[in-house]
Amino acid sequence: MKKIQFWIALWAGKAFLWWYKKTGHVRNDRPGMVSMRLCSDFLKYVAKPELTIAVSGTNGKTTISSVVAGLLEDQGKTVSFNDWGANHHAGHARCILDAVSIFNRPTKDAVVIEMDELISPINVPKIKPNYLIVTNLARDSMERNAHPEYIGAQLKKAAEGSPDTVVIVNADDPLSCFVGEHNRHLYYGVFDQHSHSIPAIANDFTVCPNCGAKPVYHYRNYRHIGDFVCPNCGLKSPNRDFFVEAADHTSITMRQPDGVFTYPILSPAVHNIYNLAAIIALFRDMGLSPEQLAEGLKKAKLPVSRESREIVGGIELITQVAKGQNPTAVSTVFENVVKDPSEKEIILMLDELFKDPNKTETVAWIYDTDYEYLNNEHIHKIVIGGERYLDHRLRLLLAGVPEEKLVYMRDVYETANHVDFDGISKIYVLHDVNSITRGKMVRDAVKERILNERGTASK
Amino acid sequence: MIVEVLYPEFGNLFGDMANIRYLQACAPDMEFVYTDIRSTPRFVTDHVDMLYLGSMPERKQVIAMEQLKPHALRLKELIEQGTVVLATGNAMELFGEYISDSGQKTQMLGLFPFHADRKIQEIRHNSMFLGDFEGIQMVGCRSQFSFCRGDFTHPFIRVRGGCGNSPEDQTEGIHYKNLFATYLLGPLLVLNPLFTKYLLRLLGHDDTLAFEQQAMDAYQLRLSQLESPKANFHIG
Repeated sequence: MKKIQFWIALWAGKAFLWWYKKTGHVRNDRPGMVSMRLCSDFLKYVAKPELTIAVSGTNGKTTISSVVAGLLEDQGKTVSFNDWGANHHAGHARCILDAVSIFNRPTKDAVVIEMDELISPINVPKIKPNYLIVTNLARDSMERNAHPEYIGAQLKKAAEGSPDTVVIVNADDPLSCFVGEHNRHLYYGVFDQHSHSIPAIANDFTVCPNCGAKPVYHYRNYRHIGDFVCPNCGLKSPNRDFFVEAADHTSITMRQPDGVFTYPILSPAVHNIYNLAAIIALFRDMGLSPEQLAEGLKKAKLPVSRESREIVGGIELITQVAKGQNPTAVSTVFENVVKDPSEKEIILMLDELFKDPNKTETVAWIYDTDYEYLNNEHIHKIVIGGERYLDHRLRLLLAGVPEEKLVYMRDVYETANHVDFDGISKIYVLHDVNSITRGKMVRDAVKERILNERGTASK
Repeated sequence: MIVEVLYPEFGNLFGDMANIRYLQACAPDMEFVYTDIRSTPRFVTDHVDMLYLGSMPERKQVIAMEQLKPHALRLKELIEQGTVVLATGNAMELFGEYISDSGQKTQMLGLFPFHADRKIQEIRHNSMFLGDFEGIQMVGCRSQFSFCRGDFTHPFIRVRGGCGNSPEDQTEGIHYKNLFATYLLGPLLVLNPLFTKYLLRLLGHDDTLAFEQQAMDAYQLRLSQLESPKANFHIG
């Protein structure tokens, strides 16, 4: 019976996928949803290509899966992937549907699956990927993910449910580095960046999980990510198989089991150096030579939905995703913004809800987020837009930001009219992951104002 | 005036420590004592005016309870004497008799006759909340794996929207003498400026709030949204 259900699910999903592609809706999960509704074990029965890679963890999933898919394609492989945030059951089914024929035979060389941590114990054992990359664990949306301890347990179950999967984990993350202990695993890490990480409000590694003592760091690169040890029981960061020993604005040097090699970087931000380390560990373990990998990485780019930069009339306009409801992601973005010493103005639009009078959303997360970072002399003004604008205003005031630096309004589109261009060289538009289009519209409205006022554009 | 924050390294899960930061901003003359999990609480031997405990991971509830258990009688004595106690999120469950989870019972402090039913694989309750406490409209949110059941003869808040101690209960939390325990989590005092003023008066302190007008503006907007007949209390 299950088998019949599966075949119906496969054919229905393939038919929907064909139709959605034909009508231009390539990035739509509905074909996967159809297959999953018709057969709840669809992911178990559907054939997988020779290479299946799953990427999970709180932050960095989209970046890593996008770059991995691009590198595989660069090697001439055909790849199916879901790097547009379709990281739940339907997205996974949609992704694999695109890699099999109606006879349930693989038609592509690889699938790269971005996987939500919460559903990983359900889907990893069904998909049984060749590789599972766990980027890191951190405080995320409480509605979706509760808390890191809970999510860490889910990821451990996921790895245990697929014992043949090779698990690639961040040795510098005390919350996730022990995932996959019983699998073959590869550890990656990054040298002391001397990043002078600003103390964060939220800290999820306050006690040793073994003995309850207070852990110490040899160094901490950002938030709780660093080289740690428990002075009481000796629990420590695992030895890294792939260790970034040096980095500058163009390249990293990495110690690997077979030598020390240099690779071009995707972005100098520390979290992206960690993302790159995971990618290198994966490809080296798959047998790619350092030279081939370095060549591929030269062409690799970060997903455009995450960040855009453009210079207009002498002012750099930057849009960046700052995932609302996710205090660690937003705090990391804030920290990177203030580490940029440029004179700047910021537009904040971090809410998930827009103009729906029947809905409200929790703001507990903004009190775990380091708005204190934005109390910075190089930030001339912060323009707040969105349904929860009064909450963000109060939070910024409590963070010590002077009231005269704040402008606030409910309408996000109105924010573009309130930035000033004198005396600044950058404008950051920090927006929620669900408002990428809105972020770009606000950026374009700012751009139009600059062009109207200054009359020139330069790239 | 001394406020003791119990186990801040545990009880800081959903922005709960903002309650303390806001109290500090409102009452900079207060002394705040932070007691970590390996230390004996100050209230055991010295006078404190207020105790605070916030939301924590489920495993850490047990560790916190084990640390507090030897001092349960002293805690009871302080509550009876009228010491202000505030517990937010699942910290409330520590004051009950036990937490049941997958057929196992973990004893809690046993100060009030209720227990928590936790189903970590089945219950993921996320909701907004609106309620009434002595004429003060309380707003907030919840996120939990458990519900409390038992004898709540001293309820804190009458539910107007959202969920009570359990789905079948129209009251939320405990208010006994000056103890306030509630499933409402995170920055309760920031979100509820009128309750914060009440609490400051209870402590015998001037009730002027930090950024009072701005806090009231945010509160009024949220209240108006939650009082809308079409308000959706389910989130997540």
